[in-house]
Amino acid sequence: MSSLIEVSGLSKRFTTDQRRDGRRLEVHAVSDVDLDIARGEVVALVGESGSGKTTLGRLMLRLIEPSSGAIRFDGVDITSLPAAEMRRLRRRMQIVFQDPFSSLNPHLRIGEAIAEPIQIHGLATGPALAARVDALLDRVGLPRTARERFPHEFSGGQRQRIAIARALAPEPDFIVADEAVAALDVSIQAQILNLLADLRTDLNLTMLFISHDLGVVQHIADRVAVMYLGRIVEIGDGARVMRDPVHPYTQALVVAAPSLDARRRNRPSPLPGDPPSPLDPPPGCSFASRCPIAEEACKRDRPVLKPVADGLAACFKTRSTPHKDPKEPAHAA
Amino acid sequence: MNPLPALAAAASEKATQSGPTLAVSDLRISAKRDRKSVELLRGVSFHVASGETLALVGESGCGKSITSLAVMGLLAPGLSMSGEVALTDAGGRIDLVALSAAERRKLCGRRLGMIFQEPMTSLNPMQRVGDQIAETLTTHGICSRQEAARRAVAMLDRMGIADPGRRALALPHELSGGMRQRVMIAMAMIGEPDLLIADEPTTALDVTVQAQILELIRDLSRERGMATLFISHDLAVVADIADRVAVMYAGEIVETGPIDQVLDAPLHPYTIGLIASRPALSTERRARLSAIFGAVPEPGRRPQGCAFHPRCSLAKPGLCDVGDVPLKRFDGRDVRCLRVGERVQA
Repeated sequence: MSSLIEVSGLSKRFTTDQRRDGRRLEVHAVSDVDLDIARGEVVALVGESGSGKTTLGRLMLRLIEPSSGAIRFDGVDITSLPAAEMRRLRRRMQIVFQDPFSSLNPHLRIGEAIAEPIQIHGLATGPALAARVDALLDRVGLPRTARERFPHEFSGGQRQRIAIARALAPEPDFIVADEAVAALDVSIQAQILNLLADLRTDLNLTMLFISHDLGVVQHIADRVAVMYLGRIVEIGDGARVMRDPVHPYTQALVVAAPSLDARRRNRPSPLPGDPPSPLDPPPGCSFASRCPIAEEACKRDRPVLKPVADGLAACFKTRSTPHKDPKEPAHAA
Repeated sequence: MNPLPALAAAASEKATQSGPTLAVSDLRISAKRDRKSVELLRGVSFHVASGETLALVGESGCGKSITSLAVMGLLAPGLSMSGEVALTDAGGRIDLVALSAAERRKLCGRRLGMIFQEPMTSLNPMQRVGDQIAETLTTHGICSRQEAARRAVAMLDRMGIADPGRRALALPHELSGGMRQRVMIAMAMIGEPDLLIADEPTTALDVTVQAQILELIRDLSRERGMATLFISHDLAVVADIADRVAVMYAGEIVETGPIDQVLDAPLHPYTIGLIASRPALSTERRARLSAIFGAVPEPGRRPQGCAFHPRCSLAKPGLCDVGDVPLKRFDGRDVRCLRVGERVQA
């Protein structure tokens, strides 16, 4: 499979107002990330708040500019593509946000909101445009009468369908879904996840699915990348990472995730403490301060991603191990 | 002046007492909208015994938060309410609905503790967190300022906050979200309340922090024999903390029973749907989720008969769409479904 989007050595530092020794402190939001997504593949980005997953998603679309590193889209280096050319390419890369209440213009009728990206990219006009809007409404499961109505007339789930229709309007190849189902009630969330799964199959969409919910992630993703303090610490087959995580942080995350299957009885103690400050990331492994198996070397040197099971993990304490029996859960003991 | 060991002894004595600490019966709340009365809560009854955790679960608009607000006496003005909310303990029985604001303030912190979803809006941004925690003790004259400050630091330590002496001097904005939530729990717990009401206390937190906070609430309620009313939209979180659960839909409890029974063998079609629509780590990848079709009815647009019937695949015309559906005892639970018995026999 060829990659549709590929980033290498990608970093983003934000300057803050805080100073130390006369120098402005920087937030290391994303540090040295390599990631490629194959055509038609769904990669999920998981991690806790502040881990850099939203920043990485926006960097990949060049909604914000990287501090260093490169982004290639469909074989073209877009890292420093001029604005006019980038605009043309934008048709092919779209984003769906978490909050369908703030991502839609309250003064625009639904039909206008969905037509807008089609018009901006000059893809259709007149009756052809109207037909495309109708087809998109059908596609996301909304009645065509929605065209004449305003966002406030719709529920959260319906608004998220509208936001998806709008993202699909210019017929993109690549979609970043940033916590796209996080604000929805579970019964509605399931409807939207089913819709995304259908779209993905029917349109061969490539997706970066950003989420903090491991259940959702393992349901939709082919591969999962786990971020901690701006770095990918583990990446691999979605089902395997969730069932048989290699990195100690992924293990802690899977254990801590509330689940109807694994109730409190057999739970080990939760991970202590909080992540270190991204203003002052530690020199060694960023997880060492909370890691149950960290040694002195982990605090001194930074582990790099190395092959494990079907993916990669950045940990000194894990060896490249053969794939375990998939039926055996890793945290059963 | 009560030293801590005495309080602990009193608490364990409390834990062994029988009888419910909180009893809510036939709670009804309605709002006026366009001169019409809109029912938000239609006769909700439950009880929480000391040492026990009851979870109210449901999706937005089901009435779980308004129930907790009513119990805390924080209902918005303009809502009309009927029913009984009674808090019972060694000191007797108090009708929480009939209390004046001043009487209620006397209970808050000592007999009633509350934790909300967003600690930033519940904490005073200008006051050191240690002082905010200690305030409960000094306001009620439980101990001296110095002793209160000492206990506040001890409480932060109990919350798993590193360097509690220094953190007690911090202002809320200087702490992380997880730490602020722990500060709020410390505030709620330091007065050793009989009843803790926790409304989505971990919803804004990351999973590893959420796991820490849930463990904390669990340990404290067990140690101190506290009755806990836990409100959440997330069945999986509830699975971690509750002894019993009440599932709410459109202003009513539709199923209530011991947590394991309800989760392992749900009876109400809505509970079944809620559990099935949640993607679990064990769900086969890319299998279709069994979503509940449609959406929760808006208040005032409640369908006739069973409120869930338009979304229910088992609804029977002429049966489920006429008349109110009572809660029926079935298989160790109370279930509000006319077809519950039939289905099991079939």
